[in-house]
Amino acid sequence: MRVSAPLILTLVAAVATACRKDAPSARGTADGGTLIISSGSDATILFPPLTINVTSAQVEAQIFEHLADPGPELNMIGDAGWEGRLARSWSWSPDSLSIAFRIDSMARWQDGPPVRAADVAFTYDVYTDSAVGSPVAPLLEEIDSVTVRDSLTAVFWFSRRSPEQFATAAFQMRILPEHLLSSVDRKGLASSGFARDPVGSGPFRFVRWVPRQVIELEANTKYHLGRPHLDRVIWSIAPDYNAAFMRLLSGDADILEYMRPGDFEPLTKHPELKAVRYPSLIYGFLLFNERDPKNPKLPHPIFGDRNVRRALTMAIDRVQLVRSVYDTLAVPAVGPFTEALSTYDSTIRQIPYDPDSAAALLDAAGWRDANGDGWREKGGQQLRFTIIVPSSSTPRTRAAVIMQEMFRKVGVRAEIEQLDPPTHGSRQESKRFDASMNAMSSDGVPSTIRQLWSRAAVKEGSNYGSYESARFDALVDSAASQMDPDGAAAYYRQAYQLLADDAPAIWLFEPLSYAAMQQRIHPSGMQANGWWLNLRDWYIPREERIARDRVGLSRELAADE
Amino acid sequence: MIVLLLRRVAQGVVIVWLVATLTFLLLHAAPGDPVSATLTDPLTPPAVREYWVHRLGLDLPLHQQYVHYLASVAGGGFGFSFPHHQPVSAVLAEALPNTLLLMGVAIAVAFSAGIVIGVVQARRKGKPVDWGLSVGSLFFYSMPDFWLALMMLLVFAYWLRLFPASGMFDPVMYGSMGPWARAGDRLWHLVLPAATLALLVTAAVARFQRSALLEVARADFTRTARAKGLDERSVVWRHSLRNALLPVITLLGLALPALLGGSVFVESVFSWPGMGTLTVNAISTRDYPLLTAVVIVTSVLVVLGNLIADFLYAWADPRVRLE
Repeated sequence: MRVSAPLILTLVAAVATACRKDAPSARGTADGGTLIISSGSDATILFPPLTINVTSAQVEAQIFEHLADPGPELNMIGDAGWEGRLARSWSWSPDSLSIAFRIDSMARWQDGPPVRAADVAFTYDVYTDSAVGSPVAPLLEEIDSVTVRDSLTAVFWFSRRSPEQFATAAFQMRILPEHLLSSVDRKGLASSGFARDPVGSGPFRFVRWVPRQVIELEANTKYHLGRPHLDRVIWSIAPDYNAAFMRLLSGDADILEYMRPGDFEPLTKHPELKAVRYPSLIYGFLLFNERDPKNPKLPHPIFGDRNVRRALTMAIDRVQLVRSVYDTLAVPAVGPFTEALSTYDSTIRQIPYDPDSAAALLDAAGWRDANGDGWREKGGQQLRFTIIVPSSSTPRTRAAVIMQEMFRKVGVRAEIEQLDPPTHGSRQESKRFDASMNAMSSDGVPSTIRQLWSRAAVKEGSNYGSYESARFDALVDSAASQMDPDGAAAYYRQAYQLLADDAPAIWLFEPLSYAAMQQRIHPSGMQANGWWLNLRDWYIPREERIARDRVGLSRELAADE
Repeated sequence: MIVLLLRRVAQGVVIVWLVATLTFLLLHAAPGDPVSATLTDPLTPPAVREYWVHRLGLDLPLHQQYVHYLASVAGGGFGFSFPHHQPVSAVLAEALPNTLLLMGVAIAVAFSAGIVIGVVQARRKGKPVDWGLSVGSLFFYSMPDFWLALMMLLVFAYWLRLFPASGMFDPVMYGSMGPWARAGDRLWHLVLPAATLALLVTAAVARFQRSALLEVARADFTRTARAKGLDERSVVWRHSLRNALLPVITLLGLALPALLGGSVFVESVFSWPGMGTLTVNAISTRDYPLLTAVVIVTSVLVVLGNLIADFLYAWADPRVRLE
């Protein structure tokens, strides 16, 4: 299916408004309405330290709060652009080795008691307790301790200065209520009642969770930053994508968070629906394994050679590939990041599409078609490798097929092996692959690039392709120690350029994310690190409301209002 | 009778143990584990993965994991589901009743309707009604379950908007409904998935029933019943049908595993939160304890189904003795 630009423009009625915060009061609307999110998966737990699933993260973001959130620029260096949430303000010590957060005195837990600095210290203790096993704990290593200066001031102490220390303190943990959790055994927190019936301090309060069916939240009318505009938000679980889309078309749901390219056409027949674009941190690439899968001590017979990797990159027409797979719904990626990352740099010099130069480079590397069968050989070995692809991803499968043909044109034989996602993941982790079609979602923190491409991450991280460069490590280390955003960006730029030149992967595409939603829904503040993070600002104008918008709050909350 | 029951239960236990053991071994032979299949974010630190692998005992030798698992099953716990962060028994307790409800209704509808259709066809053999019902039942019999489910969704939920597209209840209004309205809402949501499953089985039942009745119609006792002057209704419903039920009863035993298999697709399409969707998720997350538990429960249901079929056989045919 072709997705024409005019079609997209017609459908994308709210692109501009989706990402900015649009005050409903300016439109004369009152609070109220129900938002039904058609979700592909259920939450697994509603306890932030152990959250690994996107639906859990979406729900928790409404119930629990960070101390502060980055603005839409996603600046993770220093505190510029950050907006207070539970913290009303913060101050740095002169040596920058501690940050004191002042809790908003109006902040209350949804069961009544005020939020106190002791809750912040308790939260840090839970996240870092080995008995809890939080995936976030290692990210908090630069925090030495959290102390309570007074009932409303929590102080974070750091072992060393770092540009991302503010983000670590303010954004990695959602604050938990000590009065409800202090008596629960830490090992049993995951299966405790709280993890399925949580109480937080955020804009929405938990109502019910019927496993694999519904999660319902209701407006917290006493929220310290002001009542959210919507009365309720409901996640309605539909694991089958077709069923989820049908649910949206039939009006049973208000929003489907992602759309497949083929779904824009049916949307045109539904004037009550619109497509809304929001920024994304997802990018796709073909990863090369630089070590021999059979003997990791040896370099890969093909990808161990930088010139061969560069030649293979030159053989791929990425513009054509993106057009064929996504039409206008993606752009070619320029590195392991997207436009939404604060250190994004569109000026990174790319290896150009040039099949002739690719052939010349392969010739020079000794890979020649000596026997005239159309495939290159060297030392009796054919230039042949396997691309592993997760069978769940249609775009990546299509991209692999197109690349296979592009490689064929320069005499390179690529074979495709489709694997179910756990097997694909397992093969990558154990480094038993030649090349892998991959997609990654950045967490918005520039320095996490270390976990994917540094030498240390070959053994202790996710550098599955075993790319090793001392210069890259030094550049990222320098970037990650710069307190000045511009200075950090300059180092990151050099690191990104090195990755582009060394070609440990072919950077393929950056899909543009679209949500399909009912026209009456007015989104606001859809950010790259979570379109759902500002649901409290979404609204439904009174004149556009339907029956389910008028259900109202539960009696108890309505009385509070 | 009791001896037979005990013998069948013992056989069932052995079958379930064999199935569970085979599933355990096959699952562990597949690449991946619950931790790596759940903590899929490459940014997850290896130390966290190692912590959970150790805590869940996945770093133990396979035979030790097997012994732990058997001990857990014997204790009725089935272990801990890492992707769900809950004991497996709690996860099953949420899903199993939903599947039993869906299957129970589907079986009741399918066998009632299938028997009636089969009787009508047999009585009108060779007539347009027989021909029409044959074509109709063959049409549904040959239809893939996932495709039928999608078509039902498209026609009745999207085009005609007669029934809800998915779920077990109205996500917004259910909380404010009275008990009768809630029951009605649940029934309304049950129609499409149950009808889909029932349609698939009804066709088979009808075809079996028709053949069996036609066979019985030529039997001596049927001719005798007619010779006694009984009216045709009595001949069919009191004499022929009971004898013609035997193949259908056999089908009942076979329908349980078939319905459980079909429910994987039907539950997925209609977002019915039963064992089917649970199984799909458990496979994709390599949730060993949950998947093995699902297989155990399924095999218990199949064994039970066959046991019930055996007893019904004896009821329907006095020549069969439960000895």
